[in-house]
Amino acid sequence: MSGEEEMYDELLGAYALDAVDEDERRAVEDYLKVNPRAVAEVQEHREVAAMLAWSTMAPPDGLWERIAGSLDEAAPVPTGDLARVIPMAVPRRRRLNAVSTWAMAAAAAVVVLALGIAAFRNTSSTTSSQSLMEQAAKRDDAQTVRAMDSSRPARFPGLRPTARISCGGSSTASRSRSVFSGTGPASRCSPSTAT
Amino acid sequence: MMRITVIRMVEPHRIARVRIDHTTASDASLVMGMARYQQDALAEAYKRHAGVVYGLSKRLLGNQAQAEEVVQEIFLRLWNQPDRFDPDRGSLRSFLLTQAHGRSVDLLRSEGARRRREERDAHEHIGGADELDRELWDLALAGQVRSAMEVLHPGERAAIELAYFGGHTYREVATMLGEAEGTIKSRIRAGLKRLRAELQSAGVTLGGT
Repeated sequence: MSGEEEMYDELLGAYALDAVDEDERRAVEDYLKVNPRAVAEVQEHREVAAMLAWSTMAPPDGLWERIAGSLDEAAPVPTGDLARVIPMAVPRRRRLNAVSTWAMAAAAAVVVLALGIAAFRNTSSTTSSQSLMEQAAKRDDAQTVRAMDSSRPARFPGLRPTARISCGGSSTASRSRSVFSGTGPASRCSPSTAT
Repeated sequence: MMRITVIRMVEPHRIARVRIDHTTASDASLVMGMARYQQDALAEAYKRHAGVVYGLSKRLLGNQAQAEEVVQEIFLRLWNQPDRFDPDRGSLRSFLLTQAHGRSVDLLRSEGARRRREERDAHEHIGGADELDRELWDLALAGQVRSAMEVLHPGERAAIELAYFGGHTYREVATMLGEAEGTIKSRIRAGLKRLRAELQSAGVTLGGT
């Protein structure tokens, strides 16, 4: 290990706690770009720090309502140096439209039917222990995710089908009109520009 | 168990709405839900983590209005850019806390509001005794964190507390404690590593690699 690496490694704890100055922060972030081991170490420190913040304080009444109220207006989030993470590639996303709403409903109906059958099978068998219930819950979760994926592309490279649909230029006429088109700004449909 | 209910609305257009009960979903599935604009998924994430995010911000900022702004920013950002969270890299809670901490510290450093907090004893922050009546305590975990803190060298503990809960840079901590900067830098890192090992041996599950 070079002396330079050692110097940066020594900063990782302080960096994880935001206890470095601006120049050091930038230097460490450059270092992290080429050093996955250091990225892992920072993440470990942050998990420990999260444990230190174990005591929770009830958030003030009305705060959630304010957040929820601003969602449909897609309030721009301050672009300041909010996240100290290295962002992933960002695919596009779009609003739910009528087609996908129906597709989701159809997919959900399939899941409901499947769950019904599963539930019927479960009740006809004699086992009903807690662990089996939990396993069933996990299966349901996975099933739901699959059903959702079949109807609507998501944005997680590792967790979604490959299809991507942007708001404009869709080949399907019925997709061109979002049910939320009256409220959401056009930028919601644009590729995100996070870097 | 994740339950799905299809609610048929009685309005003329009869759009079927799909509602998903997120209460037992994993944090990762919640974030996937947000990518699909499921507001309920964000609501559930808020229910799980807003308390601790607010608590940390309030401790750092000492100001309720600013802490609320930080919480709002962090959750709106999660909603707008859910893909920034990578479940393979760590827990959602530490992801949110990291952002809240960074944002709070930025506010402190940019506004010079920190002087007010210097009178406060950072050592109290671990126990959080000043806000006792408003806080909800997870007693088992609190005990584990506290005993883990006790195995630290007192110098390590002070450095971590002043940096994390005080929002000070390691240089400032060095000045405050009358130690060399390099010493404080090392103590923070070594202390965090020791804490991690201690918490793990106490059976606390920690995210990360």
